[in-house]
Formats: sequence, structure tokens, C-alpha cells
Amino acid sequence: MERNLLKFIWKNSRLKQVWLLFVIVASMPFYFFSLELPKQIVNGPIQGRDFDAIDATQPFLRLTLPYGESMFGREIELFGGLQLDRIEMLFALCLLFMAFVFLNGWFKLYTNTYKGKLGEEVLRQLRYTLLDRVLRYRVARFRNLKGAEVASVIKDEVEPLGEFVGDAYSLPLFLGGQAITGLLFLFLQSVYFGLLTIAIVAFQIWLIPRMRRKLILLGRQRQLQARKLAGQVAETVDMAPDIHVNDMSNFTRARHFGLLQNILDIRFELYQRKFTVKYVNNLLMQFLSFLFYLLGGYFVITGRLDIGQLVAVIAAYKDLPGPIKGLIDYDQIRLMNEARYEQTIDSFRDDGLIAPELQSMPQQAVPRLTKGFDLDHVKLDDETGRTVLENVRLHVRPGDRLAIVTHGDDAARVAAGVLAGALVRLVQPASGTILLDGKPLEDLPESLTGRRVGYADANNYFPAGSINDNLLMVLKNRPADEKQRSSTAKRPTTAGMLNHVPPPADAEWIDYEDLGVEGKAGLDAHVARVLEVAGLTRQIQDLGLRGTVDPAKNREFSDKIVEVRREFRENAASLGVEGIVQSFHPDLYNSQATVGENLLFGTALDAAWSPNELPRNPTILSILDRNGLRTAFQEMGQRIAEARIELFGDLAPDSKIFETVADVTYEEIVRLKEIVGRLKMAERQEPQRQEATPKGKKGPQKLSDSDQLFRLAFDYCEAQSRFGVLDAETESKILAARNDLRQEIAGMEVPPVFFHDPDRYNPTASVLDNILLGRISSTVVDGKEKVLAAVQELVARTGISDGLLQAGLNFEMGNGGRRLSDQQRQKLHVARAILKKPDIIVFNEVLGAMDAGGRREIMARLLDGPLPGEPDFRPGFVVVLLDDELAERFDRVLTYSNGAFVETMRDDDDPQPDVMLDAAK
Amino acid sequence: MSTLKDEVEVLRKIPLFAAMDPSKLKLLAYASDKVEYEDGQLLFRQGDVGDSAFIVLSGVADIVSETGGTEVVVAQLRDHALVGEMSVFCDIPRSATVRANGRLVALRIGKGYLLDLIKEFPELATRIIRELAFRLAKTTADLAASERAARH
Repeated sequence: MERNLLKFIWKNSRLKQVWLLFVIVASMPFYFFSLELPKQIVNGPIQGRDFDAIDATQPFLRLTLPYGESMFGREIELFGGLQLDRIEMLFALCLLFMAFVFLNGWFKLYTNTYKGKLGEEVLRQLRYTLLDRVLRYRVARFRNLKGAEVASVIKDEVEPLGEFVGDAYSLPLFLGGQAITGLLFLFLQSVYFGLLTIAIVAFQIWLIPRMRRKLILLGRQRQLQARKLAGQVAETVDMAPDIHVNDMSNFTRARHFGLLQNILDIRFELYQRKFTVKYVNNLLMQFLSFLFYLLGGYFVITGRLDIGQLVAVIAAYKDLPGPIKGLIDYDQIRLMNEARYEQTIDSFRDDGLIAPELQSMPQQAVPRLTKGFDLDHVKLDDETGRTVLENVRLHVRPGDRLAIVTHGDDAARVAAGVLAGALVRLVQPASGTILLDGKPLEDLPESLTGRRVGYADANNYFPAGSINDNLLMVLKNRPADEKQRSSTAKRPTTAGMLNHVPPPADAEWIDYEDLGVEGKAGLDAHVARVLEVAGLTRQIQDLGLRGTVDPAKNREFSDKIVEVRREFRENAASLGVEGIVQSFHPDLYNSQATVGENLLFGTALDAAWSPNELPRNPTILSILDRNGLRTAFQEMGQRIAEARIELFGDLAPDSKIFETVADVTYEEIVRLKEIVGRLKMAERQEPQRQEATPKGKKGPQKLSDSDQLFRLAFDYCEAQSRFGVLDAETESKILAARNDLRQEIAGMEVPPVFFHDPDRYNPTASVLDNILLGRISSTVVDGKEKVLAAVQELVARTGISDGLLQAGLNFEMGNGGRRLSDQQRQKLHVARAILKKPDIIVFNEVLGAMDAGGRREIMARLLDGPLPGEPDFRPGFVVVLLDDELAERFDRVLTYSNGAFVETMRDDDDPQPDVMLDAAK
Repeated sequence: MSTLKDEVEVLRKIPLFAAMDPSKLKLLAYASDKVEYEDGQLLFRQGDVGDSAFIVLSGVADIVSETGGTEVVVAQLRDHALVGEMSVFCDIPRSATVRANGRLVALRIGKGYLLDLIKEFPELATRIIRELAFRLAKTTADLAASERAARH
């Protein structure tokens, strides 16, 4: 990359810089005219010069040939102009003035916008180049790289460069031109004063950079410290759990503060020096005026200079400080940005980058592997630089099944891991050669290794996104459409910049043909098969059941779910779930649901209508009042509290009953006791004012005691608690209130509630809730299990399992994929390795989070034939085993014994002398 | 729908709990699930791991002994009988199958809950010990009677 910022900018935007300069120069005459015109307006029509007679006229827009007089001895008139009288002239000149104002404004608008755009373009290019470098770092380098620091460089540190780009060339030329013109004028007026000025400016030019050296140094330090801060903050976020369990928060604060103090100190010194430089600068310029007045005055008084000359000199000098100051400021900004740029480039050094050719998109189809791996005299080091394997000789053909058995021995596991990593270029061999299909692995493009060799290890990181995104990511190697690919052909690059534009990320990147599937449907089927092999199908379907589906995007599926719902209801008996699910019926009270659920009879689309907020929702409260339920709920809450106190009031705080039986905590019981006690006391003292005394200082939201009891009613379900506080009369009142509410909400513009409706799909409820549209009865033995089994059966029978899988695949995996369990994520990594149908699959201790039984089952399925229905797909395997027993399923086995890997062929227990692999002594 | 109060009334009729404090009976009722069985549905099967005890609230339960593939109904339990407690106390598999004979409503008390309740209320333990002792005495007497009958 170009080491010099100005050169970098020039190489990446020279045409645009020239155009910008041209536009700025072109705008100058108009600017000067607009300054000239007011003078003409005042002198001409307003003061009436040359309009002595009443009907005198003057030419307007008279145009003569410049220098006509000197060339031809007389004035050459190109355009005689329009003869206008005084008033007309005033209007004409004012209109002209306005036109120039518009024109100047437009020039300003254009150049500013152009500068901004230019800056952002160069910035985009710079960032893109930096990102390209990150992608081309070797994997080993990432061990010492902090993600947040890199992000801080790419995002924040280069930001000011963008603002500088637009000014980089135009500003100094513009200001320089002005300064030189000023100096020229000065020289014309007086050579001595011109020389004097040049001497002072030259002194400035000599002095200022010297003063600035330290400034640049400080700027660099500040940048490094700020970068460190970004890294530290990210670390603190990542290790938050550790900080809490080890009481490290105060140390962490101290550590952060130390750095912040450093930044402050540097900044402070920076300011001191920066403003000192400014001060000296200003002083020197003013010193010049001092000299002008003093010397000029002295010469005038002593008669060596006439007064008119001095006035002219001072007038010429007046225009000089502005541009010079501007130039000096510009230089300051340039130097700071130069330093910033160098610092940035330094942290993205070129050493050991992967050659860009290895990552370029191939124009032809990627060939299949025929010869496989050949390792010869390979020496491998671990991460600490210790040699763990020496003189490795190994051949793996596509279709070979090679197991590496470590017996759980640490040294063996490290050696096996390094060996597996070397096969996929995660580890570079210290010496020796690794050939893949007869060519050095080192020189092969990633388009070959990345598609024909599959790899998975214990790593379980996933970026945030849906399961589908993360799964299909590995298939997105190049746009399927050839046109989009060819547009990426490289244009000649300059200054090591990436001048090509990558294809759009939202194009179709999956090459169905290369993958051997037919269209989107074929891909879906392939994904389904892969998930089945990886043992994820059921789990993802469950996620689909628990997830939500947007009916607007997935009409077909949601319609089908409504059908399944109907089927579930109609065939309840044959599914063995009759009477287990109590369906939501608009005219019936659902005894398995809470009072609040029965009242709302739907799901909230708006947070103010969520179950927790209902007791505070003004609409709900007014409807309760209207139906005479407010006091009923109040009493219900009171009786619920009393029943709970009666049940659990005598238990000791540490009683096991609280953990197992009670649906309240000991603290909650204590709170209820206090509330009930206070209310009883208040009733005895002032029965009529009981409602009006908001107390409840213990309440979490400062609710009054009676409000707290009122809330209890909403979460009450008679079928579960059986306190006998909900009678048929209240139930019918709740039903009336439900109808009331429905009418109320029907009148609203945006309904905040989606009502239960047997014919409509509820987008806010989970797929399972949509199928059931009711509550599972708590009195039926194993009700939940039976219902889930019945739903699974229905899912398989009605053919929505694919849709359910798709719904599950849309599950958002969360930050780092952490919403899935470790083993699910590891399975997903295995699934990704198979998904691209590689010729050789390398597994390095995969599925470690699983139990041995489940892991063996998956591995056995993989070895039996990775994809059912695709007998041709028989990839080779190199597997570092966690379960030694599985070794017998492989054709070849490498066993670690006495510090070396020894290969045994199946049905032949003699070690093969030609495949001895020595570990380091 | 039966409320806790009704369930307490039912529990009170069971000799085992007759003398227990009503509030404690209520807790017992609260801790247990009311479960309903259709005719022929199994409460549990012989040889299963026992995870809960049952109190019959209404209906009839057949106690079925399965030996060598043949089923013999050895006893019938009616209202208010306690069944399945042996597996809970002794961690042994179910000694017989219990099947609903007609519609059956029962209270199911999870193993953990029952043991917790006993720890919480020692008097319940005394009652259960007495009940078990009575049963043992009855079984011993029955055994003696049947031996006498066999000798004759």
C-alpha cells in the first residue's frame, strides 16, 4: 500500500481532484463579480453618477474585447449593451447581483457536495482495502489480534481522513494562489516590503514544522491509546461473567481509568502544544504588521517613502494573512492525517498476507479431488512453537477413511489437532511439503480447498443471524450468475488498492448446479437431509414449533397450520388427545387459562397489553368497572392472598415445599402477609378510606396495597390453584367484559390485540400455540407429552414438517450463536462440513459437547453414507476421534504410541514401516 | 370443578389423613395433581420405577398382578384408598399394575413432594407408619389363615 497519504489520495482520485480544482477556479470570476456589483449599484443608479440628465441612459452589459486597446489601439466593442435609465439600471443591476448570488451559492453547494462525496469514496476504498487485508491474514495472526481494535481502526481512526480528502489538493492550491497573488501585489508596490514579508514567512516555514514534530508524536500516541481502549472495553464486555464471579469489577474500573487518564494527559499536552504553535504563528503575522507600521511610518516621516505608496503596501498586505494562516492550518491538518494514515497502514502491514490470487473467484468449475493429500517429511509446530510432529509421511486418497486415535492422551491430542489443522491450512508446516492433488497445498486457491475439503472442530462460534443464514453461508463461494461474476474481473490496480467492485452480497451466491441439487426445492431437500444426518432435524423442528412465522411472508405455511389446527381438533380422539386441550372458544370461559388470558382472549401486539401490563391498562380498567368486575377482582386477589398465606404461611423460609410445590416464594408470602395485615388494620380504623391510601412502600412499582392484591387476580387460574375463588357468576361477567373489550378494540385504528380466532393464523403466537389454540389441561396425566407427540404425528402426516423445519431454520441464533446449546452449535458445524459435499472431510474432535452415545450415533450415520439418497457421495474422512471404539469403522487407523503416530491397516495389525510418523523427541 | 376445600374434605375421609390439621391437608391437596383416567387406562405398570403415590378420589382401581404373561386381579381399590406408596418409600419397582376400572379420579402426589411433606409434618409420618403397620398385620394374618387353610 502507498505509504504517503497525499500520494494515496492522488492515485485514487486524481481525475476527480483535477475536476474539483477546475470547478473552483471557474467559480472565482463569478465570486469577484458578485463582490464588485454592490459597489456599482451604489456608485451608479443610487448615487446617480453618469445619470445627470433626467432621462439619461447608460449601457447595460456592454462587452468590449479585453486588451483591445493595447492590441488594436482602440476599443473593440463586442456588444453595445442595452441603454437603460436610472431606475431600470437599478433593477437590472440588482437582478444581476441576485443571479450571481444564486450562481455562487450553487457553486458552493456543488463543490461542498463533491468534496464530501469524494472523501467518502476514498474512505470507502481505504476501508475496503483494510478489510481485504484482514481477510487475507493468515489464521495464526488472529491469535494476537483484538477484534475491537481492528474495528476501531477501520471504523473510527480513518474517519477524519475522509474529511481531508476533498481539501487535500484543492485547498492548498487555492490558498497558495491567493497568497502568491498577495505577495506579487506587495512586490509591485514595494520590493523591500515584499522581501521583508518573504523573510518572515520563510522563518515561519522553518520554525513551525520543528515545533510540530512533538505534536505528531503525541497524535500517534493518542491514536494507539484510543485503539487500546476499544480493545479493553470489548474485553470487559466479553469477560463480564468472569468479572462478576471473581469480584474484579473494581480492578477493571481502575484499569480503564488508568488508560482514560493516559488519553487525557496526551490530549492535554497535545492541546498545549497545538495552541502554542498557533500563538507563535499569529504573533509572527502581527509582527509583520508591526514592522510595516513602524518602518513604513518611519520612512514616510523621514521622507524616503511617499504616503500613497505606504497605503498601497498596507492594502496589499491586508489580503495576505488570511491565505497564509489557512495554509499553515492546512499543513497542520495534513501532518496529523499523514501520521494517522501511516499508523493505520502500519497496523495492516503486508507481511505474510495470503496472495490475492488464492482468493479470487474461479471462472471455471472447480475440479473434484482425485489424488488427495500427500504429506512428505512434514514438520509441524504447535501454537507455542514447539515441534510436535516430525518427518510425517502420509497419503490420504479421496474415499479413504482414516481415523486418528489419541486415547485421550494430551500430547497425542495436540499432535492430532495440529495435523488435522495442517490439512486445511490452519497450521503452516515448519518444513516439508503437503500436496493436495499433486500441487503444494500452499499454492492452491481457496476456491478449491474451501469447497473440496470439509472441516469441523470443537469451535462453536456463529455470527448473529438465522440458522439458515449460518448454514448456507459456506455455500456462498461466488455468485451463481456468470454475468455478476465477470463484472468482478480486476481492473488494473493502482497503489495496491482494490479497484474492483465486489458483486452484490444479495445476489444468488449458491451454485445449485455445482452442488448437484435442482433449484431452491432441491437445496431445501439437501439441507433437510444434512440436518437429519447431523441429528438436528427434530431439534430444529421444535424450534420451529416454538418460533413464530410471519403469515405475510409465508402464506402457504400459515394456512396449512390453520388446517392442521382444524385437524387436531377434529381428530383429537384418534390422536389420543381428546379432552386434553381445552380450546379457546369466544363464548366460553377457558378454565385452564388465567383470568387475564380469559379477559383479553388474544395475544398482545402492543407492549401495553402484555400480561404484566394488563392490571394497569386504562382501557382494561374502565371495562372492568363497566362490568362490575373491579371489586370482584379486588376481592378475588384478597382471597388468593389469604389462601396462599394459609397454605404456606407456617412454613420455614428454607422449607423444601417452596422449591417443589409452592408457586410463590417465601419472600412473596411475607409480603402478602404484610399487605393483608396493613389492609385489615386500615379497614378497622377507617373503613371508608381504605381504597384511597396508597402505601405499599415494599411494592416494586410503588403500587398501593390494594392494587397489589388486584394484580393477583389476573394471573389466577382456578384449575391450577383450586382456591375456589372464581365462581360461575364472575366467569360470565368476565365473558361479558371480553365481548365489551372486543368491541372497544374493533373501534381502534391499530388493534393492540390479536384475538383468538379458529380461522386465522396468529402471527404473534408460536406455531405450536397456533396449532393448539387452547390450553393443555393440567389434570390429564402426561397431557403435555401426549399433545406434543400428537402434534409431531400430525406434523409428519400433514406434510408440514418441511415448513416447520424452514420455520425453525429462521430461528435467530443470537450473539455468537449463543441461543443454541453448545452441542447444537457443534452439530451445526458438522452439518456445514457435509453440506458442501466435499471430497475429503476432516473432523477434529467434533461434537465434544455431546454425550458419547449420541456422538457415536451421528458418526456411525456419517460413515454409513453421509447423505441418504445420494449413494454417489462417498467422501473420504480424516477424523481425530474422541471415541476410540469408532476406530474399527475406519479403513485406516493412526494410533499415537510412544510419541509417534503409527498406522495400522484394517485386518492387519502390523505397523506399516513406510508410514511411521515421528513425534518430536 | 372441585376446589381445594372439596379435596380437603375428601382427604379428611381417608383414615390416613383423618386427624391431620386441615391447613396441612390443604397443602397436601395443593401439592398433588388431580388426575383423571378413562376405563382401562393404567395408573402404573408392574416393574416400573415408582415416582408418585395415588389417592383414589372416586371410581374403582384394579390391582393386577402379572405373572408369566397372565393377569390376575388381586384386589380392587375404592374411594379414598392410598396406592403406590411402597415404591415411593422404598425405591423399589412397582409390585403390581394398577388400572382404572371405569372412570377414575385420583390425586397424584409426586415422590419428592410426599417425602418433603413427611419431613415437614412428622405427624403424617406417624400416620403412614401406622397404616403400613396395619397392612402388614393384616397381610400376616391373611398369610397365617391361608397357610392354615392349606394345611387342612
